[in-house]
Amino acid sequence: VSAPYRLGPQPGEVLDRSRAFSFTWNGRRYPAYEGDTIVSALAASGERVFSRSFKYHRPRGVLSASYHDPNCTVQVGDEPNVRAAHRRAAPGMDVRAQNAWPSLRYDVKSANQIVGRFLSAGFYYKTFIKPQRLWPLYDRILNRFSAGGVLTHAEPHEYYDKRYAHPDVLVAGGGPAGISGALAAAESGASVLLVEEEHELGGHLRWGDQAERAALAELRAALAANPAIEVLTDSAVTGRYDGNWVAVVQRNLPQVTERLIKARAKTLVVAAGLIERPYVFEGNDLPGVLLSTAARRLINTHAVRPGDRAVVLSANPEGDAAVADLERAGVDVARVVDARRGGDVVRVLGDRAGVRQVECGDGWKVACDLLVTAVGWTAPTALLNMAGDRPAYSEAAARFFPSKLPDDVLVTGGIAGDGTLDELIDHARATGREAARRALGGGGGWGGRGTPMAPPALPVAEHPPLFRGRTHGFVDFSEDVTSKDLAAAVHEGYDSIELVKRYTTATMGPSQGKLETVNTVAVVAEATGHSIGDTGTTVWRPPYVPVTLGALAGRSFEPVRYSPLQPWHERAGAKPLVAGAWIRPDHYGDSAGEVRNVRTNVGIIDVTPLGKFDLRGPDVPQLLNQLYVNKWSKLDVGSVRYGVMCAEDGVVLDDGVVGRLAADRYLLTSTSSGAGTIEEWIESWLQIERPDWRVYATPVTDAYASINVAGPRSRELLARVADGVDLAPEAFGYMRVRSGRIVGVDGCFLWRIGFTGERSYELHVPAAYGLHVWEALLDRGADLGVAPFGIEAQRILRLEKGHLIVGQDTDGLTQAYGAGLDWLVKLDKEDFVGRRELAWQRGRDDYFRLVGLQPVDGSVVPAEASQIVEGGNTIVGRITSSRMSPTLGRSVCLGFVAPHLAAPGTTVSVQLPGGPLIPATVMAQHAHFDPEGVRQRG
Amino acid sequence: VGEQRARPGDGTGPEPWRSYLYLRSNPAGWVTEGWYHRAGCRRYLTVERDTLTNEVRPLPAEDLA
Repeated sequence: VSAPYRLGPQPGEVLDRSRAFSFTWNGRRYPAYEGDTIVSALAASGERVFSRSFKYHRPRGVLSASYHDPNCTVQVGDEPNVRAAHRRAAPGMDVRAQNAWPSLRYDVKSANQIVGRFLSAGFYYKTFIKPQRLWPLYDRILNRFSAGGVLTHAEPHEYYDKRYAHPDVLVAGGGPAGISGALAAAESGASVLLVEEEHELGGHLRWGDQAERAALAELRAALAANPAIEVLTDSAVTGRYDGNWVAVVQRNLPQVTERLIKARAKTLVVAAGLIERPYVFEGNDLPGVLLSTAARRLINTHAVRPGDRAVVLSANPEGDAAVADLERAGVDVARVVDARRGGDVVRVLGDRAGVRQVECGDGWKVACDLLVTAVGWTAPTALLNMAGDRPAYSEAAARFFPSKLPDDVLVTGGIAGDGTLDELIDHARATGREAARRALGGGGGWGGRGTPMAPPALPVAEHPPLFRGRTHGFVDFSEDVTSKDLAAAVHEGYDSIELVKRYTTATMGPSQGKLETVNTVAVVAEATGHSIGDTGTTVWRPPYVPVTLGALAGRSFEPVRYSPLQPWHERAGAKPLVAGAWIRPDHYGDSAGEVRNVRTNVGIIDVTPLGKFDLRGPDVPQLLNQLYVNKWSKLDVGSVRYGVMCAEDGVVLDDGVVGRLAADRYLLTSTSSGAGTIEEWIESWLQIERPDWRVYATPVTDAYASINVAGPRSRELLARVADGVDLAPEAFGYMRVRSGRIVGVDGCFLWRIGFTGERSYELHVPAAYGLHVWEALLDRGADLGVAPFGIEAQRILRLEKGHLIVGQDTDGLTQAYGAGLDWLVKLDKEDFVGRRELAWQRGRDDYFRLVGLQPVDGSVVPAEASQIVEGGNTIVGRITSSRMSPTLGRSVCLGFVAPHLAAPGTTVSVQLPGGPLIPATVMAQHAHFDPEGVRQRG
Repeated sequence: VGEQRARPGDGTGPEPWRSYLYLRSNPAGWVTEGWYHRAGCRRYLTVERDTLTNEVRPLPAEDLA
C-alpha cells in the first residue's frame, strides 16, 4: 500500500521521516513514520473507515483525530479498545477492527440499521425485560452484537506500577495556558507536576501558524530549563477527590503498561482547554465529516491530506484557519459556509465509503468527499465537577464556564475564557502565581504568603449557538444515540437531563460526554422548551478517561510486618503464611508432627503478632469492666484473666487475656488481627465516652517478641532459662503472671495460659532479645525434644481443645451467647459495651449456637464453611473450623447449628461441597480433648 | 467516626437503643461529626461538616466548653 494522502514535510509535523516502517491493519501492510498515530498512518494511505458503530454498525471514520475520537477504537494485538487516533503506530504492530464481522467492509451486523426502530431509545428496557426465562438468550444475543475487542488469556502478564507524588501545584493540561501556569508557579517557588494527555505539549499551538509554533517553542524551552517542573505527557488526570487527592494515569513509561500516580497536590490548576463540538444533522457520522481541529491536526502535525474536495462549515476563526490549511494542503475547498452569516448545512449524503454530497442551507448541493465543521466548543469541566462545581451556561459564548471553585482549585486557559494568546498566557501566569501562593502558605491554613492576586478576567468571545441543524443526526457517536432518540425520550416523559441520559445511554459510552454532552443538553432543551442553562448538564464523575484494572490493582504498597524471629524462621524453612499485615510461619514441614510434639514433649511458637497494650493508671479496672463482658474488679496483682469484648450490638469483637503486673499496671493482649481495631477502640472510650478516667494505654505489640512454650515438659524447659522465677506449681499456677529475667534478659513477662490446652508459658521478651531467647530455648531444651511449631499446628491444638478464634468461629452477626460464652458474660455488671443487646439476646431462643461437632466417620474432614442442612435444602448451620486431629486420630470441628439442633448427641447432616451429605454428632462441649483442663492446669 | 450522637443511659428500651446504634439523620447541610486522626496524632475530635459542600469547620466556641 502506498500513501497517496501523505503531504510533503510540514513545518509543525511530529513525524520522523528518517524512520519509516510498516504495520498491518486487518492483515494488510501499511507504511508509517515514527510519530504517526495508527489513524494518521492509515489516513495517509487513503483509509477512511476505522470502526463500525456500536448499535447500527455504521461505518465510521475520523471525527476529532484525538484521544477522545469515538470512531477510532481498535484492537492492537491482544489489547482491545485502543484509541487509534492517539496510540502511535509501531513497527510490526498488528491492528484490527473491532465490532465488525466478517470484515470492516462487509459487516453483516449493519442489518441493525434496517431494524433501527427496534434499537431506539430505551430498547434494552423495553425489549429485554420479559419473559424472564429468556434472559440467558437475550444475554447471548446482546453479547454477540455488543462492541468491544477480544481479550486473550494466554499472554503473559504486563507490569503496572504505582507512585505517590506530593507536588505543591498540579497542572492538568499542557497547552499554552498549562505550560505558562506551571512556569509561573515554579518561578514563585512551587514544585509543579504538569500533566498532558497527548504525546506532545502545546495544545492547539501544535497545529497553529508560524507565530504560534514559535511561541510554543519558546514555552517548551522555558519548561525544559526549569527543574522544579516535572512534565508527564501521554498521561491523564483521571480524578480529583477530597483534599486535592488527584489520580494520574501515566502511559509513557517504557516497559510499564500504565502507572497510577496518587498525587496529593496543595493546589490544582485545571487548564484542560476546549474540546471541539460536533454538529448534529442528517449524515453527520459519515466518514469524511470531521471537526476543524481534526483537519488541522491531520494536515499540520501528521502531514495527511484529509480528502480531495471539501465543504467547510465555519462559525469561528479556527474554522477559517482550517480553510487556509486545507487549501495549502491541496484540498479543493468547494464551498465555505459561514454560520456567522446564517449559513448552514442541512444534510450529508453518502455511502459506505463516506461523504458524497453536502446539501447547504440555501439549497445548494455540492459534490465532495469532506465536510469540515467548526461550530463551537465544549469546556471539559470534569475535574471542576469533581471539585463540587456546577458550571454555568453562557448564552453569549454558547458554552459552559466554571462558577464556584474551592480555594485549592484554579482554572485558566480556554476553559476560563477567550482572548489572544498573550491574554491567555497572562491569565495563566497570574493563575500559576496565585496557585503557588496558596500552596506555599504557612501555618497549614489557606491564605498563604503575600496578597491574594485574582488573575485578570479573560474576555469571552461571542459564538453563535449551533447544536442541531434542521435535520436529525447522531449526538452520541460511541453509543449510537441520535437527536431523534433524545426527543423521543423526552416525549415519553423522561424530561430531566439525568433521566434522558440513563434512558438513552447518551454520554454513557467510552467517550463519556467529551464530545456529546452539550449537544445532548441542547437537544433535550429544544424538546422540553427550556433553555440550556435551565436544563443543566449531567455531572462528570471520575474517571475522566478509562483506567485499566491493571493500573488500579498496580503495585501494592501494603506494609508487611515481620517478627524479630523471622530470620530464624526463614533459615528453618518455615512455610510463610500471610496473616493480616504479618508474615508468619504456617509450619516447618510437618504440622501434625508439630502437634504431637506439643502433646508429648514441648513446642515453642512465635506469637509476636499478638496485640499487646500497656495499661496504667488507677481507673484501668473500670476500663476493663467497660470493654469486656466479664468482671475485672477483683483481678489481683499476679493474676491473668481471659476476656471477651463485644461491640455495642453484642457481637463478639475480640478476645485475649489481661494480666495485672502491679497495682496500677496491666498488660492486655488482643488477637493479632484485631490489634489495630482494639487500639482505636480503647482510645475512643478513653477520649470520647470516659475522658475523666485516668488510664494511659500504650500499644506495645512491636516492643515485645512473644513466645509460647507449650507441652508437658514446658516447666522443665523454662526452669533452664528463667532466673529468679519460682516455677513450682504452687508458686506459679495456671492463669498467673510473673516478671523476671530469661537467659540474662531483664524485663520479661511470663504468664501461664493455655490456648493449646497444654501446660504453657507465654513469654514476652523485649523485642531486640527475642531471637536470643528463642535460640536459647531450642538449645537448652534439645534433650527434652523441644521443636518449633507453626500457626497450623496451633490451630489444630486449639481446635482439639475447643478454643474459638474470633472471626473464624464467629462472624459479624455472632453475639456472645451464640458463641457459647454464657459462662463469661456478667449481666449484673453496672454497664459494659454490648450489655443491653446481650441481655435481650439471653431472653430469646432464636440464635444459632457454636457447638463442638464430630463427623460420625472420623476419617472425613469436612471443608470449612460446609453447610449443615435439613430436609434437603434448608441451611441450619455451618462448619466454622475443621481439622484432622493427630491426637485423637479423628476429625474434629466447631460449627454453628440452629437452636433445635444444639442439644448434645443430636445428629446433623453436613453437606460436603460438591459431595455427599455426611452425619455428624453435636458434642457436649467445644473441647474434643481434655475438656476438664487437667493438662493445662497441671 | 461519623455523626455525633450521645450514648443513651441505662434502662433504654430496644427501640431508642437501636436507633442510636443504626440510624443517622444524614441531613443536607451542617452536621456535627466525630473524626479520628488515624495517620497522625490519633486524637478523636469533633468538627462540623457541611454535607453539601464538604466544608469543615471547628465547633462554635460555646460548644467547646
